[in-house]
Amino acid sequence: MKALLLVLALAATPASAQLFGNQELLEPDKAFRVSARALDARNVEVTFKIADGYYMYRERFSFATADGRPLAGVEIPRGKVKEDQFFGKQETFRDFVRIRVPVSAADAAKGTLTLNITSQGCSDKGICYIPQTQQVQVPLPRS
Amino acid sequence: MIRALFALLLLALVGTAGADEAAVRRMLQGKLGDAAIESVQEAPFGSLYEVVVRGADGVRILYVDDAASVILNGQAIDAKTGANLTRERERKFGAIKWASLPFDDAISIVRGNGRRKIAVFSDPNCPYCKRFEKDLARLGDSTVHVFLYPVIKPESLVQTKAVWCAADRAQAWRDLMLRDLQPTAKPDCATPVEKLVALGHRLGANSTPTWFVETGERYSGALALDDLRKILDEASPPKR
Repeated sequence: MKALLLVLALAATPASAQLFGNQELLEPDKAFRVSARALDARNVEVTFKIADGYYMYRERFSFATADGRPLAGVEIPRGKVKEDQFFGKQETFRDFVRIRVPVSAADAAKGTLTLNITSQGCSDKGICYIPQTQQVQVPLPRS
Repeated sequence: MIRALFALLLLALVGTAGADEAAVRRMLQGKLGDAAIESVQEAPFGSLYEVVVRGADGVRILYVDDAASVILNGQAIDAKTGANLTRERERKFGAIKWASLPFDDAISIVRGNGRRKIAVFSDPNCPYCKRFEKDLARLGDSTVHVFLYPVIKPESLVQTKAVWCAADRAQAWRDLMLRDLQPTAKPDCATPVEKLVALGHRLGANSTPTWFVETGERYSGALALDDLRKILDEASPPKR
């Protein structure tokens, strides 16, 4: 009984991970944390913060408006090339990735951009997450 | 006199016992969103209550102190063994009925006497599913029920259908996963693939590989072969 330790909240903090060789898998929205901000009236920057030990695939990102219209001209930086035994060369991101999304004149006029962002990644612990779609709303400055 | 003593004793008892299960339930009321309390009982450690909460995304365990004044949202680790006691309990309460799985819709591969039983939701475009398949092939006595779960990439759908439509499904699956040989059958037969995707979603399989052992307990990820064998030996022990 006394040999038992309670780890309170935030079990996935690095300290407890070190202490217990943490086998915990994060939920995908915690493994890949999305945020977005307006760079100016016509450009939005989407950032994924990627948890340590997780990675995302460059080719699996897609961006659409709230009504499902795919967005063109999205600038995703080059990823690190991962040579996969089965799947050939794949570009992946670790730590973070910043993606520039252009805003159409029509959307800019609304003053807010609602983005549906689909992404997919895996964990070094041996799993791949099914693609997740997250919605973010970005207030836009007046042009 | 005796009655007075008894009353005092009773009072003392109440004083040390702190809150009861009902108080724990009352305290948690309105704090759990859409999730519901499934059970409240004394935890086997500390002076804590273990609360089993079931929500849309599965089972969670919370702990409440015996005064029902604090909620502990975290995990209890056995300091001696390193075992995650909270996750073990969540796994137990979250178990499915093994027999409820639609095995007719699976590709079943028996090796040796087939003792270790596992049901795997797998996608051909998940690199860890391929690694896992290699380890499954090295398990020895085992029955692997593969549930095609094409969720990672759009092209997975056609690939898994072609596997299902092959004359020898098990061979087509092994060729694809172990030798990277694409299935050659036309993916135009009747397949359970869409049904299996819906089932996987219902079971909360938000990653691949997701797998179940004979006790109905769920695991995620391509575990190392030794860990996998240990789990399967516990769930499907050798018959004496």
